[in-house]
Amino acid sequence: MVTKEKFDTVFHGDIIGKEIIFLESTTSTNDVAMKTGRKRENPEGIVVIADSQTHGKGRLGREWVSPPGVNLYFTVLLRPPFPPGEASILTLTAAVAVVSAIRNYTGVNAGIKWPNDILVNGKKAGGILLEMKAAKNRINLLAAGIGLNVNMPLYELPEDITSLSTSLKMETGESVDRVRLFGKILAEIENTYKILLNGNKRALINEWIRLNSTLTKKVTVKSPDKIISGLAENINDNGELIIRLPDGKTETVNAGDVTIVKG
Amino acid sequence: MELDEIKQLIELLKGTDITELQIEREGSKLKIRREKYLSSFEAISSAKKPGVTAPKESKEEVAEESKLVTITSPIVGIFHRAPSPESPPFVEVGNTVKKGQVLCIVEAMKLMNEIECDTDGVVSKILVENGQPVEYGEPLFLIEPA
Repeated sequence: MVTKEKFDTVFHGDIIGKEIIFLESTTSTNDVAMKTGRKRENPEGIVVIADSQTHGKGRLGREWVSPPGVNLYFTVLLRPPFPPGEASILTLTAAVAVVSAIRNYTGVNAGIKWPNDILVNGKKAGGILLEMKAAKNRINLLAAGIGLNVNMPLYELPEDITSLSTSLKMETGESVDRVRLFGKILAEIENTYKILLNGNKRALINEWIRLNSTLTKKVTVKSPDKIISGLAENINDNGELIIRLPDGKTETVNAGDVTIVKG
Repeated sequence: MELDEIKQLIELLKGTDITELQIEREGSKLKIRREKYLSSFEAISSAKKPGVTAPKESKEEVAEESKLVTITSPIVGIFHRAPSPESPPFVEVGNTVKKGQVLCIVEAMKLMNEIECDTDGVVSKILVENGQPVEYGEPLFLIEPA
């Protein structure tokens, strides 16, 4: 049984989780968080979590499957004090926080697929979608939405994604305490965000590299205007993926769907 | 290329039918294009992107054009005119828009940046095609304020 109190009190950091809004069911925690954030003078650190979502958001209008009682769906609001052009580092930061928490708390060897998908045994167990409202030189509001498949059984997944998606429980056979995992993730977000605020972006990039499962693999990247295949060689200081093409040239990618080519 | 030289070139084009002029020299590139609504111009010395536009000659027209509000991209990324590939675009040319209304999304690394309109008005021009990469500060829309 999900109780509001459990999720509400599991973590309160200096920045993250100063207020945790729990909803039994909502459209999308990102939507609720953005609306909430616009009304607040200082929205930084507010977290919106729902037991289920009716319109969980993926990239470009895709739906995130969000049944009740099994997974984590939440959004952390931030107002980072740097220009909008530097906000993309938060994409990597969020992934580092989630994967660190999963590894430390459950022992599951999760990894990051560029830029921020959470993979377990090559299948997607979690996704992160950031939405931002920005003026030219400052970020007004940033919502980091995180969906993580924790105890979801296979039958909850739509058939067309069963070969690509998974949950922590599907991979290990063990149930995970969702509330405690949620608390650990918030604590890691607080840690990593503080590292960023202290100006140590390089430390986060290095941590991303340590936890990633994309580099050194063959990948295909599909973006709206082209498809690129090659070796995922590195990420640069902005977190963009550098791909070595078959002709030896490199291409830098900042958006698109990455598929890791097996074999 | 010196500013004075650029000004001279623009003066030279006035009263002619030339709509586009491109000059490349010593690693710098200048492109002057004359269009109906554009009135600002910029020179890019490192031969990166063409996109310099000369002002029109008539004073009345300049006054009218200068009213247009340019919406620029605050980040480098991919320009999306619609929230998803299946959805209709956020706005079309000729649409009435309100201040704060979302005009497009610029995406970089799964960060979806919703670009809002600065003013109440009408969409006069959409300067970038759907799915194209955009640079920091690149003009995306021209809005005629209400």
